Amino acid sequence: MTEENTENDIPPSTRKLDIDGEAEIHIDGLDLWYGTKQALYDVSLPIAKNCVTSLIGPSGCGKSTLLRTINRMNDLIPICRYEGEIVQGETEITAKDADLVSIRKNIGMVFQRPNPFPKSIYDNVAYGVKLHHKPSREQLDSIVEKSLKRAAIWSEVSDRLHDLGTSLSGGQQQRLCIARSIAIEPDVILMDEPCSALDPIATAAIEELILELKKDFTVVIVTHSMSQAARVSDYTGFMYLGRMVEFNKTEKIFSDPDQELTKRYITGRFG
Amino acid sequence: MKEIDKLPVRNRKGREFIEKVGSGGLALTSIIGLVFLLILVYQIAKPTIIDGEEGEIVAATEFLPISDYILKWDNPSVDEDGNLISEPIILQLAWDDENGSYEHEIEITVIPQRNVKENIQLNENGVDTNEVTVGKKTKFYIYSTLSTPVSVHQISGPTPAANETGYPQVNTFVIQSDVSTVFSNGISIEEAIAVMSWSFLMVMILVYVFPNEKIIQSISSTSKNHQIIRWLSLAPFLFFILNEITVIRFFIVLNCFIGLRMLANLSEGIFRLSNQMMPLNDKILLKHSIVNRDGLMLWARLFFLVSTFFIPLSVHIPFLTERYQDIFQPYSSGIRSAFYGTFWVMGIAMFMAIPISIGAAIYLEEYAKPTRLTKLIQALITNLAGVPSIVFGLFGLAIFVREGGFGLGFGPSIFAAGLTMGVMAMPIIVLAAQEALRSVPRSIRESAYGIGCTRWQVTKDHVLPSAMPGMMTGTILAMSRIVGEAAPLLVVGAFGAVLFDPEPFAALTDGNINFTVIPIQIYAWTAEPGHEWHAMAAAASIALIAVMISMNSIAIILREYYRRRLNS
Amino acid sequence: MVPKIQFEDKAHIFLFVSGLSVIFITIGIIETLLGESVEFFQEVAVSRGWFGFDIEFKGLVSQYGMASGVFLLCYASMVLVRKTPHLSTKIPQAMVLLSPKAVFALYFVAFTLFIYFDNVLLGISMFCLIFTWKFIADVSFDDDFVQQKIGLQKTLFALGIASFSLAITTNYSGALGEFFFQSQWTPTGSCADRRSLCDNMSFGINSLLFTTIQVAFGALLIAVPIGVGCAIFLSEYAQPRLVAVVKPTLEILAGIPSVVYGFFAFIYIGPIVVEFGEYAFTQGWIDEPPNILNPINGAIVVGIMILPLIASMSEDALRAVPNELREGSLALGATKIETTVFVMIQAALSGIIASIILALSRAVGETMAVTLAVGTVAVFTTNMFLPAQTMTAYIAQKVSGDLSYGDIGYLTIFAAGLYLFIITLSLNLLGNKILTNFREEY
Repeated sequence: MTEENTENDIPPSTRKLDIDGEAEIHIDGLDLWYGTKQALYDVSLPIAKNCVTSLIGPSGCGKSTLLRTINRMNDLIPICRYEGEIVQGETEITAKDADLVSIRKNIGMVFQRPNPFPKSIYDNVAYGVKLHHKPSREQLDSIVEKSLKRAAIWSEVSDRLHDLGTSLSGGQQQRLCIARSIAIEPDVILMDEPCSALDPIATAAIEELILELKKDFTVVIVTHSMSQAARVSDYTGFMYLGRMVEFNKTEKIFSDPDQELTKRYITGRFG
Repeated sequence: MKEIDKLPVRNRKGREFIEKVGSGGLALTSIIGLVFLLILVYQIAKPTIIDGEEGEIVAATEFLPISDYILKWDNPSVDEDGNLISEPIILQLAWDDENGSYEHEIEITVIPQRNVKENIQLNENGVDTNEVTVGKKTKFYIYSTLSTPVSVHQISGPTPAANETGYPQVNTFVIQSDVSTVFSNGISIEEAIAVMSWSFLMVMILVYVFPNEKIIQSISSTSKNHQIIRWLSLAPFLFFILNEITVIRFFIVLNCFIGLRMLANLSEGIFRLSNQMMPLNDKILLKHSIVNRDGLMLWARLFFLVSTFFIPLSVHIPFLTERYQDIFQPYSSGIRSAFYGTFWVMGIAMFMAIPISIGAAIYLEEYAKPTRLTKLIQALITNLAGVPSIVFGLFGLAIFVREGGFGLGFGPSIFAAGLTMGVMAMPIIVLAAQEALRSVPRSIRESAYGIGCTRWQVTKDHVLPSAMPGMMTGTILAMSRIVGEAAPLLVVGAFGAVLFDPEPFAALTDGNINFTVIPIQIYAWTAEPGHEWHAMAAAASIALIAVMISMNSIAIILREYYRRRLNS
Repeated sequence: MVPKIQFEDKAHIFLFVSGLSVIFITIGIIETLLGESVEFFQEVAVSRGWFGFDIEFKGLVSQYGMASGVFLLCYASMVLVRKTPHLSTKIPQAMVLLSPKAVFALYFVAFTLFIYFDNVLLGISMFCLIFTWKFIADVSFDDDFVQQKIGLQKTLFALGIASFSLAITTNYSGALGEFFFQSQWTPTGSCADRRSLCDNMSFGINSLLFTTIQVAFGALLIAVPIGVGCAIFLSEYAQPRLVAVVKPTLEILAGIPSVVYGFFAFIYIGPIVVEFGEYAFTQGWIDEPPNILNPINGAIVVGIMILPLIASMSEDALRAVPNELREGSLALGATKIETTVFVMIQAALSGIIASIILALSRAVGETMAVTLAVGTVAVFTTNMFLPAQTMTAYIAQKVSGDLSYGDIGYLTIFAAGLYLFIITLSLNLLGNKILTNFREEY
């Protein structure tokens, strides 16, 4: 299949973006290039407040790129540039003079591989808080305890808070990372394939946690596993070759997709 | 209102300020690194430019030691027609013996040709001549059979080793060099052969790069005899047996060798093509039919480039290759003996270190099982590489220099120094070679074992060729590191002032074992009082740094070249 | 097929022997140094015995004695409070409870005494006393607090012992005692026959060791901030194009031979240091006019020499830290410098420390630059503007004079060399160990 054929086969990014209730973040007409290679084509997406939005699609379709653009982690890649608009409430995230520090404070992120800092468990969680605030010792203690409890890891680590964060198991590390990002109480948590490096039991724990987090935070999750998207998310966006092919409620996507391409993907015919 | 927002907030402006100060400070630190280098280079380069009234060269005035005295004028005192162009050079020789005091004046005429000389004999009756004619830049001797020292005093005329005005020119670089063609003094047979070998190599490179159809056709007539050409390519080395090695002869032999090798491979390629009835005019086909084309081209280009400075051109850097240290006239000193000393020390060190270290690296990487002994060897190598160089010097002093006990008794000679340096280079080379062997992918080994190779065959035929560039790079870098080492040689007993060419194997043949190397020469000159000597130390430093940088560049070129080839 | 197998065996043996040669070299080095050093000690021991020491008791009334008393008092009360917390509750609260203002005032008084008394240990002991008082006050209210401050307690104990040993002056003698504990280095005394041993000679290596330490740590003082800063800048901030300029420059700086650095120190750094020294002399900060050869000169030039080593090894360590940590910190809203200081440096810390240790080893073993920059006078002096001599410089100076094998001067260079070898080898072992652990971590 040549390049032109593929281009012709795939539909343009969808504009059918209905959600119930309020949207936390609006992504509007986002184009993104790595050097001369275009990675995102005119992607638009609303992210519903206090819901889990999942992004699915084959490898290299731009899910992670889209996610990293939301809190502007892509700025770390020198050759990356983009056009379009991402708005969170009043703040325009993609503005040239945007305050990256407060954007990233409001939009937390959990990465593919668990990446606890080489500090104690306590310091891992307290790190973000201490960056932005001047808490007293008691306040910090209570924040750490609360965050670890919300990340459902408190019972496992409460007696060894001063051990190194890297000494935990993979699943515990990932939950520690989640605790770390919810300690500064962001509005949105972005999760970039949070379970891809974990075993099934740890995955189940994280998925349970995501459903729990939904009550307080807006969650965006990128995942390889369609069943995971079906289990945890309220809305699902299907991406293909840089286009947002279809976006809808999860049940709708997995039961009766509008696009032929989506149907082929979720039934496992390609990808 | 989130709970966290109730906490007191850190000042954003303060954080921005710290960010700016921090990044600025970090940038400053790396600028400081650059500034250090600039200051260093400037401070070393500055004294090598002779400045103003202080750069005077004294006349050829000193005591003649008992036996002989060498003199040499760099510039002629007469022009082509024999007319004086400067004051006449007049030397006054004076001595006292039991018969009274003597005084003789000798007029010296320096003509523009080279290699014309007349020596002066001194005995009880006086001097045998009152007038001598010598060529420029030619050494001549005053031989004395007297038992007392003779004072040599220059009365008039330009001084030795000075320019036309008789003094070193202000604002000239100490390491002067002159560039001429090899034919500047008329054609000799050797120079003709040299130019022929150089042009032969050039032609071969051109043929390889732009294969002309006619030339290919003419070569194809010899293509059946490619095996003979291959054997013939060893013939130039006979030249070494017949003659003493000089730089020009060295390049004649190597140019001929590489050129003939290229010719042999080319005709073999043509032979193979014509056997298979392939067309000869297809350039890409021809390129692929030549065995080891890339390697030959690399070496040919390298030698072609380097030999250009010696064969069609002739670059003379008297400081480096002609002048010895002149105890009385700093500005006319050179580092000839140190230069050759360094050459021989490095040669012996590498001859000893390379086979052993590469062998050790192969053993450790390919053969050794992780026993306690292997681990011990590995740990020793890693830590030996960090042992101070002077400790290796003490080792050399006790083992190679000293006689008795474990000592081999080579004395403070080049041989002992070379062995000491070899021992020092070993751990460095082993580590680099291990790194290179480790970077060879496992799959290469496994596929070779898969077709039934023995371990030695796998190593020799598959692992070593891939690891070779890394090993060569590591070896050259190790060389460039030990070429600048002075401490161990100081301990082994390198000598500050050596006024003759060192004999590398004097320790084995009972010759004169004294030697010096460039770093020791720098050390000796720095320790002398007087800024003229410091100027010479600076000049020698520049020579040393130039040697090191050229070695490093060769290593980098090799590395890049092989990396590109392995990737393609 | 048969000859091939035979050859394979032979190749194996040859390679094994070349691997073994490394062991031979190490054994050779150790045997040489050890053999000659033992001979040296034996010769000295013939006239002076092996070891001896006598104590001169200055008494606890001396300043060191007082300091040691206060330190040990602090230590004892801390141990007491830690071991038996209930005891502290029995102390009347009015006695231990101090208002913060009173504590501040006490610190101020202690600081004044610290300046007035001109004795560091006594001053520190005052601070410790006030601190301990506050600690006991804290403990009597908060039981959990007892578990902490063990490190401080150990430090207090060590300081107490150290100041106690300063309060009693010991004088070591004999071959070993003289070599390791005395600081008079005159290996060629004014004897009738200067080749053999006589009583005017003295072999206290400490004067050489002290200068070596001055030079090496002075070099670290210069090289560590600049080198680590440079490494951080290159790995975290610099554009790739800038890295392409700065890194080769550092590599050139690293490749320049040490004797050239020595020359540079001799003609350029020395005069500058002398200018500073003369200013210090006219101000009365130092007692004697400065000399062009001095340890400061050597420290600066060795610092410049080891700078590229620290920079490139630290940069490697920083680059080995996975990018995810950097992203994780930035995603929490940290600025770049906060990420660098709180996360990256901590993650790469053991690699950076290893690079500093290996650089220290290089600085201790550095010879030519130090010989040309520091001088040839083996004295034990704290005035760093006066010429001194390091261990390596002593060896270099000794061997460039006339050296006859087997005499006492010849043996001293091996004793000094062995000491040097042990110091650098242990530094290298430590550095390489840390580095291996660091590599395994990532």
